[in-house]
Amino acid sequence: MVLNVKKEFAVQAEALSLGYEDLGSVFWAVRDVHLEIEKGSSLCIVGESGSGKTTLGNAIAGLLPPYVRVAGKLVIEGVEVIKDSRVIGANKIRGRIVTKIPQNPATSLNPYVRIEQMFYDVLRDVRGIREKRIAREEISKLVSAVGLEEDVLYMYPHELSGGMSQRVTIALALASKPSIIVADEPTSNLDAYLKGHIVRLIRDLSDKFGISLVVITHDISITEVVCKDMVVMFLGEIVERGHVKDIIRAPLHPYSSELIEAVNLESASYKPKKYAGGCVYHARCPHASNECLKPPPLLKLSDGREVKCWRQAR
Amino acid sequence: MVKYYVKRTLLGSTLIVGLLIITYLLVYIAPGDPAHVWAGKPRGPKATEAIELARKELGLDQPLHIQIVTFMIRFLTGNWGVSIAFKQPIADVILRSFKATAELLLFSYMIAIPLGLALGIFMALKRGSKVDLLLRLTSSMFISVPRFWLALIVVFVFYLIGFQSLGRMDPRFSIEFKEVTGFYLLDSLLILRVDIFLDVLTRLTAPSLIIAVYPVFSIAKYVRYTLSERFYEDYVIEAVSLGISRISILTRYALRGVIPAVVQLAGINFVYSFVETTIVELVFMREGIGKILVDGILRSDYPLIVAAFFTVSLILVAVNTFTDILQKRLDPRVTI
Repeated sequence: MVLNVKKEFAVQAEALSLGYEDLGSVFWAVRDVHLEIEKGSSLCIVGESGSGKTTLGNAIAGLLPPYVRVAGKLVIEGVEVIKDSRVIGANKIRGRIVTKIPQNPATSLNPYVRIEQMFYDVLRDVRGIREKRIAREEISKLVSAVGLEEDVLYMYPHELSGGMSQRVTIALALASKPSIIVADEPTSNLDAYLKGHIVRLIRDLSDKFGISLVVITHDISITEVVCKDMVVMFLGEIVERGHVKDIIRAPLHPYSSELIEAVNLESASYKPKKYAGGCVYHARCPHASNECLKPPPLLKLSDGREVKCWRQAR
Repeated sequence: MVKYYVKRTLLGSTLIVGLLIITYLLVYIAPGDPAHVWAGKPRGPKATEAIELARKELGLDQPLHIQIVTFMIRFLTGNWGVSIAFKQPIADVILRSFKATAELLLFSYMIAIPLGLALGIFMALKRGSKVDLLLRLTSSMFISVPRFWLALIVVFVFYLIGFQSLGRMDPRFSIEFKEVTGFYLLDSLLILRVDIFLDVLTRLTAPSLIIAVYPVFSIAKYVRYTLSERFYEDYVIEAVSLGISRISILTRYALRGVIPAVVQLAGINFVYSFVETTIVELVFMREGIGKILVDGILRSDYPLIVAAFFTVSLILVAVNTFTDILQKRLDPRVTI
């Protein structure tokens, strides 16, 4: 027996930077990110608004706008999406390999057609199912998988509640049989009761179908339920990476601690963030010292943990 | 839903009754004796007789509110009187002119709506490019250029390339031609005369193009901007992320959201185009409601003016009611 187990990756990012052109200069929303996500695993990308987590999620989902600037490399399921500062394969992965569960389910469904029409569109255009009877059977399976009644198919999006529309978007994301699902703030518009249901539903379904899951959230409280691994982003950089349990139990980066405190609404007074070289968190860090004026290296610790902080380097 | 239709129809009817009252009052407050005005300000030996007849017709010896009611009853029962200028029953004159105008307007909107949509979609897909900029500038130019001037140019260009654009039909066909419906394009086909059909078609195309200028470019500009915004809406981005084909996304997702408003815009433009036909009919020497109105005003043919004005208002109210209902029907979020 040859022990040559090569890890297969759903997502591989090398020195990936993503930016937007703004009046001639480029604003880099994501800077120099190295990231690997194993097939079938689940990763949460955590950070506050403006941390670049949505931009990174959109890159993985193949949804970068045409005016985006890119650098580095991004490979999704073996398909080169970003290479040599160019987006080359976004349309090959979109809907076929990766689908997205949107942030605002209510506005993400076509308001002019009945729910079933969107399913027919996906099944026809992505999976080539043209026969209505076969499509209908498939749709029934999807709808019951997310715990909805079939009546929902004959309704218009404005007739659905928030929880129902989020279930519909989940079923739609599954319809094309993707290998990766990116969920962008899937719970931000739901109340606490529904939040738990939806998060468990996403986790269970991705487990059941062997789908790699990327969950983007500012809410660290859902990470433990939905993901195994977690990266914490701040101002476009990954500042910490590890198993969710480890980070929540003992955060190594001061920003991770701040996020965990934020859940209990205990966060200290708000300080503005601005990147001025050195450590990205420098201006807000309670432990900042002169050392932090230099950018810290990404330290690889045991058990897959990584952190970008001078305090851990000592 | 039925309730909404009833409500809209009632509102439309109220508008029409109001319009009739205002029209009558306009004749009443016109300088001079209303009977003198109504009789077409006649001169000569028979003038007194005509004025007496008008006085009786208007019921000027009755109080004003009775006069208005009598006038309305007469009008709504179709008794529109005889035209002073044309010496024919007004209803006949109006109907014939109306058919000519309707043919012109319908034909030009059959060109304008698809063309405006196509141009708008093209610009939206090419948004930000030089082609888009050029087309947007062209649109603005055509929207603001005086149409009677454009009409003269079109007459000239048609003449240069050997097509006749004046009138509705070559006079040499007038003996062989039989009016069936009053719509010449249709009639020429019904009597199986391709030569007449082609002649009518070229003479209809020239003025239709002039009428179409405004709706084409205003619809194109509107579609260009609203469709471009649609491309960034959540439900369109979600459709992209689900891998739905570009053509489906364009037609059933992005464009679908723009159509109800385009219907409304086309309705508003139609009202404007109606006014424009007055000039276009004069330049192209066509019969029509606009031509009748101008003729009536020039010859003080008040009964005809009132009837033409009333017909135009009726059509405009009907078109607006129809587009309002259609717009609501097209958007499932509106419960009616």
